[in-house]
Amino acid sequence: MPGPVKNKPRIFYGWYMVAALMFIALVTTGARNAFGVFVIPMEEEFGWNRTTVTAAGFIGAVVAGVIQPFLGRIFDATGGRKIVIFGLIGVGVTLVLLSLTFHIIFLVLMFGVFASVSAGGVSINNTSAMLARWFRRRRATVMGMNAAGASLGGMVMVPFAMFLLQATSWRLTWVVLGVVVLVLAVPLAYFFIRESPAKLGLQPDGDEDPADGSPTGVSQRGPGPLEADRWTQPFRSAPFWQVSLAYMICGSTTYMLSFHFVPYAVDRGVSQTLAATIMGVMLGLNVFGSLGAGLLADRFGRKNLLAVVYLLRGSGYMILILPGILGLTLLSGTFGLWLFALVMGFSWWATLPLTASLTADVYGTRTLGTMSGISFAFHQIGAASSVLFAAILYDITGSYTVPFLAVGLLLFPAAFLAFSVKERKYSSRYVSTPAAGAASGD
Amino acid sequence: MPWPTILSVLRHHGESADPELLAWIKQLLDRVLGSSEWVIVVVVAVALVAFPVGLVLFYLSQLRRERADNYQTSGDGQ
Repeated sequence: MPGPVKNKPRIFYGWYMVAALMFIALVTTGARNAFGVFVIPMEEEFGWNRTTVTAAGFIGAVVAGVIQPFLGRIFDATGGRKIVIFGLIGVGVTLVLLSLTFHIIFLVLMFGVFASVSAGGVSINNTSAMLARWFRRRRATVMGMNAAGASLGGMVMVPFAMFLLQATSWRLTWVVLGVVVLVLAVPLAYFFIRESPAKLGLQPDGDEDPADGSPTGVSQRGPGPLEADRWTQPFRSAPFWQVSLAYMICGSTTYMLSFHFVPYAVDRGVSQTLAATIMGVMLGLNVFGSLGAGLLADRFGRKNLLAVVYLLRGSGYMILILPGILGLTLLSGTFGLWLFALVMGFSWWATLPLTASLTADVYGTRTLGTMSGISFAFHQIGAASSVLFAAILYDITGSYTVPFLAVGLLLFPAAFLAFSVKERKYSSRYVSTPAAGAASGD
Repeated sequence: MPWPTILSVLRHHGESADPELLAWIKQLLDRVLGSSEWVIVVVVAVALVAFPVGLVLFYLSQLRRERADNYQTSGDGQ
């Protein structure tokens, strides 16, 4: 009787990972984005003002940025599966506990601190780092899909929470959001999440084992010359600073917009409804932007595309601001806002798969959770400072022209920083060290 | 940092789920789906349950087919 012969799987297991992580990103990001739904009913019940309630959201954004490098370190040290599952349990439990809110301190602690720390464990930085181990040739594509899942989360979970709240109560809506995470996302993570293809006897991208004598492809290349074993190593090389500084500018341009775009558009004379419509379209285009950027990056490389995205976004800001200064009537009206929304919508999340895949290609996957966490901290530093910068200048000048123009102009150096990364010299997509063999981080 | 500035930042809040944007999304959905909020709740809930359940079932069906393929291959004497 011949022994069992194992055929190549019909579908590479990594694609199940992608599907599971997309769903996890959808429910966790969506549930957090739904916070705004609860603002008005909680204000009404407790007599809080808008500033008090939104402080919890603002603190949450700051905590998420501060905690991410530490969670990334834990991710790298433990392999990732445990922190993703515990992070999900934490998010689910915190969402359920939010239904018991009775005081503003409770809300700040639950949403601003505990939910942010838990969500950091299952953040897109960590899950992208996990996917980087599973894919090499299609690395940017799957990271783009992961980002698209998070982007879709707002579009799916926010209306869900909004209508559920209208039909029931805000307390029950928090419970349902938590139950969705605990009952659907946690078992899915437990069932599908595996730390690396090596644990299942597979190769990245589902390729044949090089030991079997299959032709050498990109997937089987070894580590690049800057492959990092310790998280401190990338600090001594240029690509880390080029990518992180550009990402900091990225954070300043997206957060400034998400905080200030609607009031800016209203200042330009459009109605609040139209301003919100333009913002909604912009957020909807995110999904296509991140998917498209991932697909294109796997075909044409990362850094040039990243530079193009920053250039496009910078051009978008110029379309938004310069016509008003130069007196160009056509572009200074509603048409200019729509044109900006189109450019910005496609470029908003496109930087994430490009930055994460470029970092993984240059530094490998062993310390990628930490590196992505540090890059995200840079992103959040840019984000928080730009929001404050815009508010201060608005209070001084009475308009958003100066802060928008300033961050828009910063995008051109960001494009140069991305373009100047020596991808062909350092990326494992193009070069590998002589000792290369096994897939890094596996 | 002056406290009024920080407060003004919070007043300017407009994350993806800011109230004006949510009001617009709600109006749009009301127009498309009618005014029954339960319609969208049920549709989204079914989709949310269907995705993970469908993924697990699909994975298990593929696993069964692969096992059958492997058994057939080994039975063919390869």
